[in-house]
Amino acid sequence: MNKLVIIMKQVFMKNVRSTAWIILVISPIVLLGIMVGIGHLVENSNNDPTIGVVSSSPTITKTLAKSLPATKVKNFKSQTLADKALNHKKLDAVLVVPVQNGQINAKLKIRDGGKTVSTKVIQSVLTQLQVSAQASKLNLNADQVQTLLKPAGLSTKTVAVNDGKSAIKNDKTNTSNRLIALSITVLMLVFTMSYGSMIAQEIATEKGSRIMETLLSSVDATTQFFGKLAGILLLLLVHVLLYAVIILVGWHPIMNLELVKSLVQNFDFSVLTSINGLIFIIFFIIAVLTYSVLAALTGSLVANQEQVQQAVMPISMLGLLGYIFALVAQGGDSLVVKIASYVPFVGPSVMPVRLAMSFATIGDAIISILISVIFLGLFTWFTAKAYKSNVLVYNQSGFWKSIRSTISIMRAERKKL
Amino acid sequence: MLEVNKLTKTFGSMVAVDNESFTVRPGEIMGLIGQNGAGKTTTFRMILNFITADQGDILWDGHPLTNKDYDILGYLPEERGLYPKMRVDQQISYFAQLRGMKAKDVDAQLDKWFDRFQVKGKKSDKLKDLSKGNQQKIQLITTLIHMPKLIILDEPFSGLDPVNASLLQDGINMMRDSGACIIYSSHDMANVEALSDRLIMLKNGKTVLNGTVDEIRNSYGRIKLMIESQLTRDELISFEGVEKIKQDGNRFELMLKSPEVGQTIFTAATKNGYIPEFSQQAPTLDEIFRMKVGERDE
Repeated sequence: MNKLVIIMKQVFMKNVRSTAWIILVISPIVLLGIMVGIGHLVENSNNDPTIGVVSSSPTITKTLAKSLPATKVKNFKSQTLADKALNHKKLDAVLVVPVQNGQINAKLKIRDGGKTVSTKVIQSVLTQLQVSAQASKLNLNADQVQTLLKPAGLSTKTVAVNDGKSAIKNDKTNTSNRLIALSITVLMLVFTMSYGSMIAQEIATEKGSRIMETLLSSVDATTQFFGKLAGILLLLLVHVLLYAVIILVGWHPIMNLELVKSLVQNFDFSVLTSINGLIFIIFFIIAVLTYSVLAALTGSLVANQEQVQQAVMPISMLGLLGYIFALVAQGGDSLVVKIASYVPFVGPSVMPVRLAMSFATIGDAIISILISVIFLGLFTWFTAKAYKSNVLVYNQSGFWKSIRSTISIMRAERKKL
Repeated sequence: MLEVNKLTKTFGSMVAVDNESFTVRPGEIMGLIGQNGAGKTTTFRMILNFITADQGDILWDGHPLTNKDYDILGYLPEERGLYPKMRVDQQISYFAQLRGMKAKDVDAQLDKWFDRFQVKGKKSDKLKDLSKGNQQKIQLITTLIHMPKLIILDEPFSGLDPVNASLLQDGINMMRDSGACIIYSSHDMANVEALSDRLIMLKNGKTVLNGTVDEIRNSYGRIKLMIESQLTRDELISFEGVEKIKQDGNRFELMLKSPEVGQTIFTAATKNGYIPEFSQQAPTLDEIFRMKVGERDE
């Protein structure tokens, strides 16, 4: 078997069984499960309040019972009886509706700690009742009442201005875009951090424990480097595929939950299947690859196990920087954000946000992709070279000094070749 | 056959290895001795291609060692390292596969190697659950299981008790009998004397001794003299050519400038007839090592 495949397989098998990876994969599912469970509970539990109505007119009680959504309405002959029921916690509220000259002046008594009673809804129903009472007094017919009650028209449009041209966006896409931008930002941070630190630790631990010397006498550094990267990326692929399967299987049951429905009612899923969706995926892949290579580089610089945390630090710093820029970009476009969206490491998390918010065009995104891909190529080439010198340098005096000695070794080795 | 020709390596202003040459033939064991920092590990790292020599070349069967030769190598680094949380059998299998062995061949041979080094522990144990001595044995198995043709052992005896050390000696001899070229470094001269066919001593990167054990010892001649006689310490010191004297009761241990001095002392000591001890020998490797270490650099 090819040695690269052997290393890839070993890295994959070792990590796929590790607690850290299993937790990484399962925790979002558990979180989602808890959310869905709570949603179920909320939907199925009885939260409908019971209101006692005291009124001389039976029409009022009937209309209230018909018009109030998710509310039980009980008729009471006197306020004393209703209050008694309230004191026994059989009612959540008592509504007294006296009618004088077609004018309604109702009083609502709400029991503290009872189920939620919506005063707004009650008021609007009472207003309707009053309006129809007044209308019949003035001899207005139903059409006239309708015309009278019709609200003034106001239609809303949002436009995005690009190069002096404005394009109409509908509100649904706008919300979708915000949601997508937010998800991309968070997903990139979580994935680059977790997989970056996984690679850094993998390499740093091997170097710190001197397994590296045995490995390097069996296989050349470059093969080992790419084998490790491939192993971790295979792990990532399995992770993403696992989620994809879960989403496909669970799509309908999840989407049918009221809680999820209310969350995604403004979400336009067509964005995901558009060209933007493809670009987001490309940026995601580039980001994970770039951070993985960086992680391999920093991981190979440590001298012992204690320095492993130092190796993870540059990854977290750059990752957070990208995250912050992406958050800023969600607020609005600025020169700094614009520049950042073309810079490697940061760009892949900023550009998708700008694209989602319509601050950037697909052309801009492609330029940013090109820059990132070229950078990734050069960076990988450099790291593969540096890796060979790095893994044999044990500089106890610190992480940054190791970088210096690595560069001097690389120079010395190149002179000889 | 491994040939090392005029190897030189400097780190900055420090000369780590200076003009080093030696040859290891198939079925030959070469001991590399010297103090810490003498250049032993640097020599190994150059052979393994971890670092490039400034000058000189290293040839394996007449050609430079390349990536294709990894599978014939067996290397035991000075600082041991294995995966603590990984199962012993999986660990050995992984390293053996990286040397081109098939997983099923490793499985088939594992029991034999466990017996050979008398490993106490199950194959399914995690490495960290084994004792330190047994962990060392596992590392040795990973070094040797693929029957390498070129074996490099950096301080293989360090940390082994006498029983395990002799198991290791048996293992090394077994590999020699299979025709491997073996180089190892050691501080323990007793092991070196028993095991090595040839040896090299490095001091500050320079080769100060090179040859078979007998050649090296004989090159010094019989300059060590153990004597118990009527002669007093002062009388012994007054002989020309006595360089060092050590007293142990009536017994004296002398270092002579040349073997011939022994004759003069023998004549003087036996002029009244019987003496209980007169033994003139070549110095042991340990003594040669100490003499060499003590010598000033030219």
